[in-house]
Amino acid sequence: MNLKIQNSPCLVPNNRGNQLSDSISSTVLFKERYSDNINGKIKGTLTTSYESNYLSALVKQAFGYSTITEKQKKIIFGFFESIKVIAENIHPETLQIHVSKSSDEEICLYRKSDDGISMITIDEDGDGFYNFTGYQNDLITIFFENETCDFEKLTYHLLTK
Amino acid sequence: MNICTLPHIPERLHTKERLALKEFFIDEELYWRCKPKIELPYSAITLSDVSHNRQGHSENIISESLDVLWNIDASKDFEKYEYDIVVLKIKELLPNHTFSKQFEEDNYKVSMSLIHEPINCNYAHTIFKFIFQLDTEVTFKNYDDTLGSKKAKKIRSLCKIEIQKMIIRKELRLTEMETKSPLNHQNGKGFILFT
Repeated sequence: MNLKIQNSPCLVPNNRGNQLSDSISSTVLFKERYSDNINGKIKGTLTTSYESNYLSALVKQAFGYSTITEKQKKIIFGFFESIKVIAENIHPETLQIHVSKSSDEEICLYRKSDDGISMITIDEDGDGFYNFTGYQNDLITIFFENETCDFEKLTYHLLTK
Repeated sequence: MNICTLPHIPERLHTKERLALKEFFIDEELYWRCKPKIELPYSAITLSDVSHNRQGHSENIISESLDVLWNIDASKDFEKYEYDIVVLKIKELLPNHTFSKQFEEDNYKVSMSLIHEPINCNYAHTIFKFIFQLDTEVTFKNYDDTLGSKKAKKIRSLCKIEIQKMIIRKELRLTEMETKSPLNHQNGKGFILFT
């Protein structure tokens, strides 16, 4: 069994991740979209500016959970901003990303492949982990914290397994 | 003597004088009743309620998968739950044929073990027992103060991942689904298949 549990890379303060997070959160677009959600609204404008209706639907589904917190929204938003670049270049439905909520109020973004299930789980504090559970019993778990999360690395992990 | 008074429970599930079996078997299945239409195993796992039916040895079956749907609570006025069944499979055991693991994270320690715990109307009843900080058994009542607490979220995740990895995937059981399932709510399917 290939067992790998680590607390990086997202846990380790990562300038690139911070920069990406800061750059996303400082944009007018982010403020416009995110401030809507801070007020508990999910307007059509929140997602229609995304290139892909597919991603829009996923964001809307995630933001639609009644227990979702602002910190969870921030991580989800950052993740989809990161993945949007990829979704613009391939048919987004090939990404096969789905959204779910766990019994502990975590938001789970996951995809299934021939090798196993890959997922990003975000708790109410915006912390979470990436996990890959393979059909051949291989297992990878990488924890991250909301302040230092590197969205590009999360995207990479989710889409390459 | 342990007596089951529920008339709808098959006699083969009555515990009577039978004792619990401490040993488990590689590839033995565990059947877990859960709400319908669960797509992601992780999202359905609740560590405060982790009771299952064990299958037993392949040559001495204790429980069939659909047995986990029987209602064994006399105060409830129905025979079967209209839930789905998730199948877990035991893939590793200690040399003494028991299942036990220990996790450590952020100064927390949790042991997880699989225990065959027969009850009157369900000899196959089996639970995952979690011992928080190696001294407190996790229950529904203390969950929020133990494994369900914010500070324990990493170790809680590791426990849930451990269960997720036991859940069977890539395994089609169409014959059993078509011939045995009493369920009507999910196109007659009695299993969740994570394919």
